[in-house]
Amino acid sequence: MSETMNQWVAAEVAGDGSGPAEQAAQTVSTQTPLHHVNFAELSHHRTQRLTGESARVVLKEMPLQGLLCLRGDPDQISLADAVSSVTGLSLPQPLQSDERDARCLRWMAPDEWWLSCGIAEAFELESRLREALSGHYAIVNISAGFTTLLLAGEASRSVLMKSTGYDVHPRNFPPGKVVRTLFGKTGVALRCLDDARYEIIVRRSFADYLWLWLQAASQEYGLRVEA
Amino acid sequence: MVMDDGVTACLSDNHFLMSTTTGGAAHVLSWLELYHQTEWPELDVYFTSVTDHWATLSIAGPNSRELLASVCDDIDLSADAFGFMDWRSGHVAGAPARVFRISFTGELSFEIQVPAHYAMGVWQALFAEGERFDLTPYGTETMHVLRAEKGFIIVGQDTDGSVTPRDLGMDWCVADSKPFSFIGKRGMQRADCVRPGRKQLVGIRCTDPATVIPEGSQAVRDPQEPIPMTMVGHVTSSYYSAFLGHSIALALIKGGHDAEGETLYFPQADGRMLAGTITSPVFVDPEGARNR
Repeated sequence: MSETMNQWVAAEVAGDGSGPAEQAAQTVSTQTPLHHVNFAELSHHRTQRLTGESARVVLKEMPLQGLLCLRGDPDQISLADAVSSVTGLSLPQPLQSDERDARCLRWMAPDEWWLSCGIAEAFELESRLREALSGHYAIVNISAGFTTLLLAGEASRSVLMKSTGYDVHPRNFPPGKVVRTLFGKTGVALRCLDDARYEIIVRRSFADYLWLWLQAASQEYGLRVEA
Repeated sequence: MVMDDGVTACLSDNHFLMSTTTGGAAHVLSWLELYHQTEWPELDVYFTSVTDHWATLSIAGPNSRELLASVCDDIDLSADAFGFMDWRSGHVAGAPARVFRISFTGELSFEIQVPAHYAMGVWQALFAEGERFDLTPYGTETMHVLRAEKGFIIVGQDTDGSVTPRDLGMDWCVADSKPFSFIGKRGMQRADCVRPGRKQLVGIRCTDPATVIPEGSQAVRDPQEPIPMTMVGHVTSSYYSAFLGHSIALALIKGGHDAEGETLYFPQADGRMLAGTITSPVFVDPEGARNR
């Protein structure tokens, strides 16, 4: 099934670039939600050179990635089969995630999963999922509505403890676990990557607020930004 | 009662894109989920917020079609091919886009919707091409004036939760011809909702064209009435219209739809007594010619 909206982002599929529209799109500028921070320049700022080595918190805004919101009935065997055949990932159990290469599937709610992937393959993955799925489901591209931050460093868990009421101790929040929770005064999707690395997905319109919050919360530990 | 207003587009047989009044998306989503879970759980439907995913750039004015054509070569923008309240899919300044021909300004207007990470690039491309049209950005204050000149309401400003579509003169958007019932159908037929004397949306022309009647001003029919005066409504939106060269206002006035031409008085706290005439709420281009 190819509905009108599926002609989206055809130009974003790397390697096509045949038609004029596709070529034009490959030169269209894009901005992440925290583009205005200019992490690349900030990471070279003199204060970063002074404090960077001793900083116990590291922050990076990840490049734009594809993000698809998948809704469906987890009890349907066909759903899990379709997802795994197209993405190579298993439909995770509650609060879990499955990751391979540049793709990650996160359980968000009893009938909701978020699939992240390289931005160039979001359209193709969505199309192939639509071909493989049937019945009552929904796939919505929400890529531009969120940004993904990587919070790392030996004090990164301390920053989390200051920011959220969720128990982020490793016995409750091991690698692979993903929760949606209150962080400061905004909601985020928080995933543990390992003992001192966390992924924070936040809405575009709250990204700057979160950036300000993380600066304040990290100050006592020293913050180094990477680009 | 009117709680929100917005545009819904049909994307395919089972796919709709809903927009709401500013800041209203979460509220409307909550109601959709509530009704789905409590009233119609048998309906197979999912709701997904895409508020942050889409950036919408609106271009308005007599040159908007020509400007858009300079950055969009895969959509036929002509009036015959692209009617009012239609949408098309294509590319604007190279970015994948949906273009909606809708207008909150009353001008010929196109709303260009792109995934938000493209927004600044498209904005810059529009301004590069727009220089020869004297393209200028406009903000919410200007937008408020433009929409008020056309009698377009803002939910929460011209409504307060006690106003029906009929009170607003918006019966046209209530589809009585639907083969099934809908939320509000019975409610709008309640005796209290159809009685005469309900507050109804009207325009107000201040007798002094240079005076902007303060929003919230209470209206009375008899300026000599001893206190407590009988209040018959209030001013909901009020601006100076540079385009018209005089002030304009929208107001909810009891029995207003049948009182065009009547003079009302608006006593002020500082002792002034302002006066205004009830008019149509559409001050500019009532034929809608500018939107073609």
